[in-house]
Amino acid sequence: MERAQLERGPGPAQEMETPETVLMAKADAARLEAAIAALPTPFRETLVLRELQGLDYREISEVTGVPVGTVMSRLARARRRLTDIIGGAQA
Amino acid sequence: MTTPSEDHKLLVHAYLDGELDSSHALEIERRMADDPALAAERDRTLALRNVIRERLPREAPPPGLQARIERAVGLRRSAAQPTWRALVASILVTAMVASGSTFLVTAQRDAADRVAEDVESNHLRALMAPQPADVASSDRHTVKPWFAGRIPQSPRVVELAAQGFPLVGGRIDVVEQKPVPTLVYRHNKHLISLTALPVPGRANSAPVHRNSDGYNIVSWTEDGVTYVAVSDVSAADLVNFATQFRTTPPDQ
Repeated sequence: MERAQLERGPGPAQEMETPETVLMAKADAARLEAAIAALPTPFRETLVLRELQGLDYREISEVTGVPVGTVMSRLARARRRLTDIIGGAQA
Repeated sequence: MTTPSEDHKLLVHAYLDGELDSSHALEIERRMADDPALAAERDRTLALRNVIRERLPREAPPPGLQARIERAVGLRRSAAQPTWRALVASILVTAMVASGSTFLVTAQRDAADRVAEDVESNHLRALMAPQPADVASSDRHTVKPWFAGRIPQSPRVVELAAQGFPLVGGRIDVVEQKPVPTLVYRHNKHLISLTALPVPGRANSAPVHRNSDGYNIVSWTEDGVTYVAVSDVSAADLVNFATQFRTTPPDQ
C-alpha cells in the first residue's frame, strides 16, 4: 500500500468542536494517564503503541501477537473508553 | 438517518490511522460526509489523538530500563518475532503507564475466547480487504467446490436469500493457526461471517450468543463442526440467521 496515500487524513477545517471535544481538550496529563492506566492491558498496550509510539497496525500485531483485525478493534474500543472518560460521559 | 454500523465506525479509526487503501478511504470519506454519527466518531478520535500528543510527549527511557527490556525479551510470550523497535516501544509503554511493575502480557484467553477473537478479527480484516470474500458468488454450487480444492473439509453451504440472508461468497480464514472455511452472508447492508471449525467427536450444542463490544457472536456445534457467526447485525437477527442456517437443507 502506498504510505503517502494512507497517511493523509482530513484537514482541521473538517473537524467540528462539540462540548465533548472541548472537554477532552482540557484534560490534563494526570487525568489522561490515569484514564489510560485504567484500561485493560490489551487495550492499553494497543492504544499506546499506536498513539505514543506511532506503530502501524502490522507492527502492533507483531508486538502483541494478535491479528491485525484484533488490533483494529482493540484500538477503537480503547479510544472509545478514553473518550467516554475524559469527554465527560463517565466524569 | 440510519445508525452507522459498527463496521463503518471501525473503518473510521482505520482511516484516521492511515490503514485503508485509497478506494476504502474514499468510501469512508463519503460516508463521514453523509453521516453525522460517523463524523462525530472521527471528531472524537481526532480530539483524543490531539490531547494525547499534547499532554503525553514521548519520554526518554528511565535508567535501568535496558536491563528490563533484555529480561522481557527472553520472557515475552508472543509467537511472532517482533521488531526491536516495536518491542522496545512496547516495554517503554508498559513501564510508563503501569509504573514499571508489569512487563509481560499475561492475559490468558481460554480456547473459546481465542476462537471468538480470531473469528471476529478475520471478519474485521475482511472489511478492510478489497472484497469480503475470496470467491464471490450467491450460488452454493460455485462456493462449495471452491473450498473443496483448497482445504481438507468443505463446509456445509446453504442459500438463505429467501430468508433475508443472501450468500455473498466464501474465503479461507486462519483460526488458531489453522486454515478454516468462512462463508459470507449479507443481511440488509450488513455482512455476516460464518466460520466452520472441524471438531471431530464434539457433542452437538445449541446456539449461544455473546456480545463483544458492539459485535454479536453466535456459535453452535453440529455434526462435528463448530460454527461461529459474527456480525454487527442485531443479536436477534444473528440468532435468526443461525436458526435459518441450521434448519434449511442445502438443496433447498
